[in-house]
Amino acid sequence: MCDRRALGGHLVYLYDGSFEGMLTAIFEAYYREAPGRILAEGCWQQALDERYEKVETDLSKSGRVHDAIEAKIGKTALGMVYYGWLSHEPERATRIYEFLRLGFRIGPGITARLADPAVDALFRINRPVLREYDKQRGFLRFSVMEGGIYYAKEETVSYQLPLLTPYFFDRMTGDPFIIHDVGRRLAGVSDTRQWRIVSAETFTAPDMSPEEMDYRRLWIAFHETVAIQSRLNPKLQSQMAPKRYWKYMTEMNGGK
Amino acid sequence: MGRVMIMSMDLADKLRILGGAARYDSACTSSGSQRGGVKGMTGNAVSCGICHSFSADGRCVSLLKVLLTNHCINDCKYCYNRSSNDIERTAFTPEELADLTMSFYKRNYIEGLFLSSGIVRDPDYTMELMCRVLALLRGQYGFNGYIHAKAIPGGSAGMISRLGRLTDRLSVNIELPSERSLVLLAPQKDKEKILNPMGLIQRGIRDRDQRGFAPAGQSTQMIIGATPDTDYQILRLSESLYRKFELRRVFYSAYVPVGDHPALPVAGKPPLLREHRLYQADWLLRFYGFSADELLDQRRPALDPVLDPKCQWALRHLETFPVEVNRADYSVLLRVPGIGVRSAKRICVARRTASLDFEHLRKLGVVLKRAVYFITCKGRYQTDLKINEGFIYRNLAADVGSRRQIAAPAEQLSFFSEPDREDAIQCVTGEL
Ligand code: SF4
Repeated sequence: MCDRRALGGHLVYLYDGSFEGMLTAIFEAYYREAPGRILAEGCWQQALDERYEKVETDLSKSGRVHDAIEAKIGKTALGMVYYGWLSHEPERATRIYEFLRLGFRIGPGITARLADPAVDALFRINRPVLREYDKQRGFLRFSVMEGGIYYAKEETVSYQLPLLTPYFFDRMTGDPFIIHDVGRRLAGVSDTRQWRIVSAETFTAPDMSPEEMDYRRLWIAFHETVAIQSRLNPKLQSQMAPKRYWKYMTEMNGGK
Repeated sequence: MGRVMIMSMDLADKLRILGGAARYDSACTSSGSQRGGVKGMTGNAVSCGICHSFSADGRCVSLLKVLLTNHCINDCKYCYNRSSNDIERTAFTPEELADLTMSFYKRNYIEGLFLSSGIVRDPDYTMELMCRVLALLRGQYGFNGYIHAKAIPGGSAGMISRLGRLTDRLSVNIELPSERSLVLLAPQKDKEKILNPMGLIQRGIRDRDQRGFAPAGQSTQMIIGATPDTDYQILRLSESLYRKFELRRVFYSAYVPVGDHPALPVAGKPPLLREHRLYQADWLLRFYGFSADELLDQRRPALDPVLDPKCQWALRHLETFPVEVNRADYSVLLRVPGIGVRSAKRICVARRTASLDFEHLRKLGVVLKRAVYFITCKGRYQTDLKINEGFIYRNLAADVGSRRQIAAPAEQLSFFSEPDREDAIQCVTGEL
């Protein structure tokens, strides 16, 4: 501890926010100097006893880490690392690094060590990501735009596009779509042949198709009619469909 | 004449009438089928099901749940669509319904279609009409999403087999839990008319070939509180349905007064707490290895309104406790209040590498508030507790009481929705 201070405090690796960037930082942490923390650029609070080092994303390094996780700790662990990266938790990369240190020591058995703090911490970061994915698969709402393009807006807490875009690509085989992550200014797009995630900095949505409003009204009418009056329970409703999702749900926002 | 009226009616009005008429069916799950997208078709299916919305009564909306028509030749007293009820009648055309399903599905409003119907002319003719809609949807419209259809009591083997090939799940609703109630309130139905199609569906599923027959299995529903049938009778019936017909699910629907027959209860609140307790007990039958006779008996035919059925059982069997979590079999852990399927599995995994203490258990998702009276870790209780039935009952009941107040006016406690959601999440993780 003391000699670190002499060097200028705990080392913090900063990566560019990408999955590959995070894996590169983990590579550096392994082969160069063990860090105090690993953080995505632009979302940390400077502490007095820390020094910072930017990590240049390097696909060969990240690829090696990726393959090593898969080969030595297994697919489940790799999944946990990936879901962890999608989380909005600022310390996610640090937790993932701690998880992997243990993982490389004990191998695939790590995912059974549910009571171990390093494993428990990553599970805790994973859970809200998967819960949000589960909700958003159902709550996302597409509108049909001019030219038959399906367009949906979302503002998710965790980064959901890498999960949702392939999911809807499988489901919407014949129709092009755009899922617009308004908060992150990104979009998951499909032209029916392939999907990818692109920047939506300068994106403007196409116009609505003429019949779109009719279908919204039909859906709202159906949604109203299925509620049994003598069982009304708005509390349970907002527990199951939390209000933060309502903004983009046709039947909850009045079809705006 | 009827036809002209049908054609001129606004689609939104039809949807209101035929959706409203189907809302008393509790089954809205889209679970049990797993298939990926297919080129040239629309849709997929996810085995844990997906909730697309929640209505103002807090129930999940997953499927476009409608009747094909609310015309009905029968006069079941408990049913809103009974022939003697003076209500507006209408029907969807196959094109209208296929277009609605596709348009809703592609906008991600729904996971699929739940199609039921009043009986037009006779059961087979009605199923013929239903098949026409589904064949149009699966064929011309290329719909590859989830379909749940209700087989009509009294339907023939031929029609059931056609329906089964077009659907993910089939159900025949029992509705009334005893023959006596059936005779009284559904004079045109009888046990045979309901159980025969169930058997036919079961055979269809068993002999399933490449083309698939109801891959998500068969379910049914019972109405709770319309008749004097007890919880014990109902659970015994569910148990034998699971065993004999290999049903995936039995749904319970608290009776909402819609009829005026002297044998029916008059207007009042639907028995939601009772419905909730039955779902919990049903869960115990399916996933926890309990039998109906362990939970209730002739002398004690009703589930306790204060404690959930597992706590109730545990209190009557204190001689089997405490259970040592580091050694007890999975099946024994499952019987401990506060330990669910997920946490029992986690315990079995985690104790291979560590000797578990109470802090570990909390991390593994055990509800310690309930479990502490029934378990030891490394041979010791969490604290010095004086274990006797009265003490535990008071503590558990106090806990439930305080939670109930917080959850008011919701009689549906959170216990039941938990495993559903947990399973859903597990399903997501399982993909990788
Ligand atoms: S047959 Fe079905 S729709 Fe017709 S009255 Fe009976 S329960 Fe209602």
